Amino acid sequence: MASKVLVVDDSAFMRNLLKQLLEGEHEVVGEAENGVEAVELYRELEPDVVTMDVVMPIRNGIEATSEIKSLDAGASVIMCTSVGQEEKMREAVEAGADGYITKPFQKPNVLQAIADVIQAEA
Amino acid sequence: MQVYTTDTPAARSGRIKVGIADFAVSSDESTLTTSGLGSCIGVALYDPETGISGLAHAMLPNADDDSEPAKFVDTSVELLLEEMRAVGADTDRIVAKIAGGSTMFDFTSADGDGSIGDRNVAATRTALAGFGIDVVAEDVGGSHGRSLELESETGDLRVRSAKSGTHVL
Amino acid sequence: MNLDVRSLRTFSRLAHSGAEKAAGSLTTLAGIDTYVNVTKVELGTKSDVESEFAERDLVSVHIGFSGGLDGHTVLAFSPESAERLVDALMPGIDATDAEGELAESSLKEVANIMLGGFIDGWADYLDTTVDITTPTYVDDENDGPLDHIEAEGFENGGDDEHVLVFRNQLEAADNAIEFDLYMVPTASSIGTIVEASGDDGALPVESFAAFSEMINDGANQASEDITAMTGIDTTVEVSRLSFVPIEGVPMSLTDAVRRGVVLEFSGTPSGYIAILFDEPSAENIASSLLPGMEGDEAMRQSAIQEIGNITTSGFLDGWANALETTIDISPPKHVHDIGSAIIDPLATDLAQSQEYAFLIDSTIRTDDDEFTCDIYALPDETELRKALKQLSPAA
Repeated sequence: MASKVLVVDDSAFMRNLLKQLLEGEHEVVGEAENGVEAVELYRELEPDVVTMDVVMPIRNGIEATSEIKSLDAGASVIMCTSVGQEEKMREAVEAGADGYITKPFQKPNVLQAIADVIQAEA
Repeated sequence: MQVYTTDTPAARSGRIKVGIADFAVSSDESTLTTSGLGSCIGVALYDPETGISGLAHAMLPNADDDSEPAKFVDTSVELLLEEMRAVGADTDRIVAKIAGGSTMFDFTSADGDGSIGDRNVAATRTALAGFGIDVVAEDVGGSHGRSLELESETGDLRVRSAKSGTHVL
Repeated sequence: MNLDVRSLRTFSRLAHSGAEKAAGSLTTLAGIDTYVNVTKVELGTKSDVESEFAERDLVSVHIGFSGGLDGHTVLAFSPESAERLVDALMPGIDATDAEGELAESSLKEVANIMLGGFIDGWADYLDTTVDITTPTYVDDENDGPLDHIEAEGFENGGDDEHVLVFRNQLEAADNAIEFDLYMVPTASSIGTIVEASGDDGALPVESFAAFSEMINDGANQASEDITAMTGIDTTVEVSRLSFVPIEGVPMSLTDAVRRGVVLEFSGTPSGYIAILFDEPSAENIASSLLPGMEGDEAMRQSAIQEIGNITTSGFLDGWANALETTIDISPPKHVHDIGSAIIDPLATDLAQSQEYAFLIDSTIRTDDDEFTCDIYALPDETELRKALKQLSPAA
């Protein structure tokens, strides 16, 4: 079943890549370039899943995840980052992230992660 | 929270680069390449039935206990064979082609045992004979450098040198 | 602060495994098989690194890191390599046209992913957390390519301050894309890693810096000698001291055919030196030494040998004086062969007794690109350490 996805990443290239990858599987309902936009768009669009970059200007992905989770405890947020340090993963868990994908990712990983968080919610 | 990581995919350009003190195996139609063999030796192994090939680029003849195995002829031949067998090659069918082991300079450090190049060639023959593998072609010794390309599908080994261009073993 | 061989090895291993991870990321992302050629730990001045960026018109992406370690990482491409990479990432998009923004974004993201993976290994080794900044894109329009790099040097001396640079040469399997991954930690961060990796027989970093100065002086002397012989003005483009796994020494050259000489030197330290020219450079230099004698190949070879001889003396005499010792030089052996294969026997000979090498490489170039001359010196590691001890302020 297709889910509504909000893609959050400061890189236009990476947003583009995710959109291409999700095409035909899920619907990308919005794109945000930083944590502040991510929270605004989350309120507005109420997506099923958010893919969230960590290192972004203005407001990072960890802070944005905490805020989205406090707005909506049932939100599904998957971190999508080039940082693979264990301590950073712990921070993501504390912020309430539901999944953690390290870049570069492959299509099956991303689709699996989305399927897993949707199922966990159901 | 589930973590999803990515495994590096296998080479897809069809060319696999083998560095110095390094080896690689191909079980598809890739070309294995290595460059800059002076006194170093290149060992190309080929199983004609499966098309599984391997190429090693070793620096010195024999390993000590705790040395880096890919750097030495004896240990790198052993590891290369192991990896080829793991993907389906059979030692009984494998043949070898060897190139390199030249003596470009007369260093004062060279002792009675001969140059490193000569010792590398001798160690290669010994190591291969130990596994009952025949050397079917070779381009060793001399005083010039070589670069190699091994067509894994056919077992053709292209040897390039600065003065005489490329020829196929 | 002191540096010892053990911590240099730790640096080298960490940098190499980080670079392998970064290469794997690019393979996944762009479908380009990428390999780490060499990982070097280099001690140079900030101005050396800057001039290299300027010379090669590099396009680069900078990412800072802070936390358990502080400093900067840079991914640097030639403009051609950058274009090919963008094309592999997004086929059909022209890197130079109005859509350059997306091309820039793709390079930034590649750097983000590669450098992020590179830093993770260091963080794990030190059992700490390292934060990275968002990437900054820098092209050759900027006049100070390293302005972003505010890493403290070991001495306070502006552009002459020494920095420790981790340089990883990466390349695609088909040689079409080549790039360098640099990491420049702050001096205090280097202290952090040195502390974590043990400290036996350490030498003050000042003696490495003093040696690096000696190499610069030697390269300048060699350049003056070449100018005196040929009547053509030359300058030292770059002169570096680096610490490299021994098998990485030949791998820092390509398999292009080079011509020149190889010599053995003996004393404290002993080792090997190679003076190499690409083929057009060798032709040009022989012609300038022997005007009107184009046909006499034996004479031209002798001229190349002689310039190698004189360059080597210019390069090494300063060391002997500074170290208050004599260094004897063997007669020059003429070589004309695959570049990496020329250096291979030199490295292999040293590989019998050492796993890592101090590699000295200098490039001397004429202003009009009539010729370039590369000098590679490989001193015996143990003997060099002995020699460096003499340069220690305490000695």
